[in-house]
Amino acid sequence: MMEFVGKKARVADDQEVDWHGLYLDLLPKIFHYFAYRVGDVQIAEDLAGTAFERAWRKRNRYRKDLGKFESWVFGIARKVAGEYFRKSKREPQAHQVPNIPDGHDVGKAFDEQTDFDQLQKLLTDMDQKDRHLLSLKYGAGITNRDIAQITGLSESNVGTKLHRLVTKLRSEWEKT
Amino acid sequence: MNDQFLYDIRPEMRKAFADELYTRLSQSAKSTPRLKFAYVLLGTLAILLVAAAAWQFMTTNAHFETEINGITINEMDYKIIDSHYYEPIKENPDALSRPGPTQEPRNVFDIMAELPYRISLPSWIPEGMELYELNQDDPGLWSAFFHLEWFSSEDGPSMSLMVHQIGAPMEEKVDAAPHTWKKVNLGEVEAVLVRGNFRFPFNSLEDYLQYFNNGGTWRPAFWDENYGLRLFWTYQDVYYELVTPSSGCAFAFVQCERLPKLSEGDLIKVAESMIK
Repeated sequence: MMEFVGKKARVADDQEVDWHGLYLDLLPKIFHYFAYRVGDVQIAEDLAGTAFERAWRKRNRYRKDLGKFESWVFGIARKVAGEYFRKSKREPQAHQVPNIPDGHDVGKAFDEQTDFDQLQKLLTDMDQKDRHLLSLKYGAGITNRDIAQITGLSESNVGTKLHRLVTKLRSEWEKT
Repeated sequence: MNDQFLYDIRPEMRKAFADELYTRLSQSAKSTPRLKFAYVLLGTLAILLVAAAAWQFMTTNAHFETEINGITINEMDYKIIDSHYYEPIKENPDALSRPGPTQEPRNVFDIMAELPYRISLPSWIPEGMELYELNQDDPGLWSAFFHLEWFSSEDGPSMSLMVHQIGAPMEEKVDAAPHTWKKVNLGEVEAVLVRGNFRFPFNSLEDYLQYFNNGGTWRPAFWDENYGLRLFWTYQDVYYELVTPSSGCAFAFVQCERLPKLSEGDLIKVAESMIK
């Protein structure tokens, strides 16, 4: 792998950020966030790339004193997702091709894909804000405390909302 | 279905995707030396352009993209607007009516308690105006964008205040037609006063629906100097945009120029009362 400029880059107020480390840590989270939000691996890759490129371009606007870098990037990701949904209302999306990573069992991958598609059908009927929360929790896999910082909700509120959403999701899943 | 199932069901990220994106970002970072040459070239061109524009300025009084106290003023004769900008109206036809309060009047201290960061609110507003609404785009800490509305009873003027934190992934940019703005001072804080706005580019509901039903995506909005007054400034790491009449009219078929608005003097006085 190549490296970003000396692994570190300056942002606002001469603060240094370890871009290499952040990339390795954050990209899978951002990708999985989008995979949950849009339900399509190829689109999730495009959107994750867009969010990262935008974060890189706007890095001098990040201010450490206002919050974690992760929260800032997820703020950008949320905007990218919003832009995508507005655009996709006008333009029909291409049919999804199953994502089977190299070296994986095709049968197992197919079952996982089917489960994921089924989950996506249930998520599609949900409010965008609820889907955003579920994508942060189960897509990006981040803690309720970090979700609270990203969304501005209290930590206990995040926990309560997620519990209700998962209960609803489970009930719908059992009906299918 | 349990938590582990919801984690395990996630599609795997392709290593090739991560590598390709990393390479792309690295190349953009490594292009700095080439950029330096490009900067020199651009710098030379910029000097030539500035010289040409200065000459033009002396002869035609032309303006340029300017920055005042963190606010960028982008001058253009007309603005091309993507149709999705208008989708909130399509989804909510009520927005087509004259803007007005939809909630009960609000207490300014309650409003302050709801804000996740500190902002300045006016200590003076014209007589008869009341604070009615606080809307927020998203409760997210970084994207927190607040919109406060003041209305007068009956046919008095209305006013909106939009704020967001500097550093949020939003822009501090004003699109305005040439010769329609000026710099004003709010005490020691510099601000930009814009007279007019790009006009809502639909004359009727029929015109608007026909545009969407025919798959319209772009439509130019032209400047109307009577389309309200707007004041922009930044203060203590917060962006402020104070508008009269209420910003809602910019999305309505009711013409903004017909709605009562504050005078330039009163708008500035409200803003001055926000600078401690």
